[in-house]
Amino acid sequence: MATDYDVCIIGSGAGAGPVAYTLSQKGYKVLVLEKGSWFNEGDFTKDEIAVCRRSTYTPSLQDEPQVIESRNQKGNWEAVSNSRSGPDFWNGCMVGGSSNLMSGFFHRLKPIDFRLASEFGQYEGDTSTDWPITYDDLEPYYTLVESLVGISGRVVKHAFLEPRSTPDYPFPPLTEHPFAEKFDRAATALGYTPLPLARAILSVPHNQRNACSYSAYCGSYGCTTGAKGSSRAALLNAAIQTGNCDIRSHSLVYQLVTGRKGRVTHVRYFDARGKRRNVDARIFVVACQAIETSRLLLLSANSAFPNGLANRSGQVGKNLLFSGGGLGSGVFRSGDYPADEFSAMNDYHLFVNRALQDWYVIDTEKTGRIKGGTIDFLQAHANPIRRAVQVKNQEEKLLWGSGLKQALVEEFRERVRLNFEVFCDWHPNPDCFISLSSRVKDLFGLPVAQIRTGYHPADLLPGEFLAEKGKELLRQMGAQEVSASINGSPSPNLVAGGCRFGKDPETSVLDSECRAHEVENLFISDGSFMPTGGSVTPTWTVYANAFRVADSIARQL
Amino acid sequence: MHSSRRRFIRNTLFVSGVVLIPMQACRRIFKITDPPEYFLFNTSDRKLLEAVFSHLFPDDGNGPGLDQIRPVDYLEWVLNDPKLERRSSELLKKGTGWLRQVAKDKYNAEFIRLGTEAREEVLRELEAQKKGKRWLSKLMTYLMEALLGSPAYAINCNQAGWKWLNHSAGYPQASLTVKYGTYGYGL
Ligand SMILES: Cc1cc2nc3c(=O)[nH]c(=O)nc-3n(C[C@H](O)[C@H](O)[C@H](O)COP(=O)(O)OP(=O)(O)OC[C@H]3O[C@@H](n4cnc5c(N)ncnc54)[C@H](O)[C@@H]3O)c2cc1C
Ligand code: SF4
Repeated sequence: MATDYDVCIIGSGAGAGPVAYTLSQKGYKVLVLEKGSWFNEGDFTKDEIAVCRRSTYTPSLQDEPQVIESRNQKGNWEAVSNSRSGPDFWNGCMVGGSSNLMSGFFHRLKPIDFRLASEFGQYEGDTSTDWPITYDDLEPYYTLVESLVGISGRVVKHAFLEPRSTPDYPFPPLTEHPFAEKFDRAATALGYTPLPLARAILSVPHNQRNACSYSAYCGSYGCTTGAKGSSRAALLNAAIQTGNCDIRSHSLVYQLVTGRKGRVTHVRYFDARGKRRNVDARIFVVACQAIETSRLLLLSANSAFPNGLANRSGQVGKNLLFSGGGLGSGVFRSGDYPADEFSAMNDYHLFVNRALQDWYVIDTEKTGRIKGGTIDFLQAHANPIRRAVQVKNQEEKLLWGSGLKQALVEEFRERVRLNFEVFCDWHPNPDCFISLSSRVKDLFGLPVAQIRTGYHPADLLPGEFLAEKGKELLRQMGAQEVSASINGSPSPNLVAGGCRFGKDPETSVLDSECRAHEVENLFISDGSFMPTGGSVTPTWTVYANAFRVADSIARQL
Repeated sequence: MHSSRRRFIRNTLFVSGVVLIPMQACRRIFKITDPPEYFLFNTSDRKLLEAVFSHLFPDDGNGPGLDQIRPVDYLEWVLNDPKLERRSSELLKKGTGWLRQVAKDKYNAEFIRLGTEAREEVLRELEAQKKGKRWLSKLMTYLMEALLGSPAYAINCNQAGWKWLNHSAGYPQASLTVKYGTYGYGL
């Protein structure tokens, strides 16, 4: 039967771009439906009020809220719509998705991440499983991402370096902040291996994209040079140029409709004017980011799939993952350094780009052999309003008057902060999942996603261990006021799982190709497939796997 | 809701014909010729808020003055945003009443008539109440936005806040035609 398109992709972020790119290059007709607007380099500004302090790239929580379930003081789960309070789990709704806004700290998973359960065993209340594929299956795609999305960096041999099919990154490292050298000295003195941190940012121009201009407003902001490896800049623009890929922005998909054979026949969506429209295709690919992907499947329940599309197993929405770990920081004071040295330290334009992975596996008397993780070191984003708001919030009282003004001067002119972020596994568990809210609907009348955000207590131990190492490193560098916080709070911008892949249809939603076990022409290509997230940021893996899924779809077409 | 949204956008768009950030003059975001419903504070509220801000961010020779930060005008703009949650807008509007009450209970006087020490006592007493602390904290957050946000919002005039704190702003900045309310999701 003739269809409008060969492939219809829902969402346009990191999970979608590789599929649109690969299939349109191969000559297939591809349609991308994206609920957000379409911005290009020239549309982005470094406006903290619009970008960080209001919902500009994401829906207003009054119109499209989510319900967040967290434990109250008595330990019971309490569901509150985030239109009233609580974190916002929307990350970036526009062509290219939140990949437009990411900082682009990129890590591959390591072979051991693919077999967390068998390597380290399962804790009680931990639902992790091994991946149905190995690192070797993904390696060629990790390499492809380096050149197509554009990853800059420098490979340094170390105990946990993942096997590579090429010796080094295709793009040289970005220009480094003076902290990088201080870091290397401190790490070496402590006997640790200082690692340059790879970034999905072009250090030199490539494929009609400019090199990074070191704008100091990177994470959370759109990139005005095209250097950041967003799905839009790196992949969708090239897909459009093939003449085989159409992108419809302002197109919010609310249902996947199945026919008699249990295949998806078409999708229903609202267009820019709020009019209902349909489009059909031979294959459908969902990549709305983990939370909205599960929600769309649940919203697509029908008589053949009463619990939601591809959800006879009841697994859709389950095993949701965030990034385990937390944050730390230290302060460097102007009085301790010559003026010109301090002034170079107090500059936000260049990148620190350093990491430690010496403890990817931790094996001590106190901990036993457990999975460890990664520590990335970075300067806080430049955002002056956020910094000033932190200054006025003292522990007990608000700081105001001349004291506030003096504290602001000190914060901005006399102190520099170096931060670190700890990444360790978020063990999937029965208290971390997506469902549909039975009470709250969005402005389209659709039930919103309800997100239960429970963590597994075992995630805290490696987080605390790594935070101590991060603090030790900062102190060695000469930092003062060193502190860290490790807790089980979810990371709204680093989210995966919900439709994990696996061999067993009873315990997974997708097969090893990321095709739904129950629906032969439905694929999911965002981070929803991940059964465990590894001890790193996830997006390189999302990109790589989406290229793998694209090859598999091409074989089916 | 939609008509107020349009009104907000129209106003954010057509403050003036120029596209660049106004560096020279520090104009009010709403002009005297704008419809009266933009002006949410009456003279007495405005005076009260000005007095509160001049206590929170006093003119002590350190940093820009309130005439360059313009927090009261900014607050009015914030309250005109149809996307502002109802709870925040109610909190912002009710706070002045709570402050008047504390000043009356404590000194049987209007806040604006009090000296610096008495103002401090009244504000700290208000801060000791949960709702009062929420209001003051919100006011201060908007004060920090007005100090360090883009001058395209008719705040941080001549980049006075950025200059004071040696902050180098990102590029490109917001402009009168590209700023919050003129573009983004759903627009
Ligand atoms: C501030 C920030 C910093 C980050 N930094 C890093 C980092 O340093 N390193 C790293 O690895 N990762 C980082 N990330 C995470 C990274 O951006 C995501 O992992 C990645 O973009 C996920 O890809 P995705 O395709 O799943 O989702 P997205 O890229 O968000 O794309 C999903 C798209 O689907 C659209 N959509 C949703 N529902 C529908 C619907 N019903 N109909 C149509 N369209 C729909 C959305 O509008 C969105 O555009 C960061 C994220 C943020 C927000
Ligand atoms: S130019 Fe560089 S620093 Fe600025 S947003 Fe793009 S990648 Fe980030």
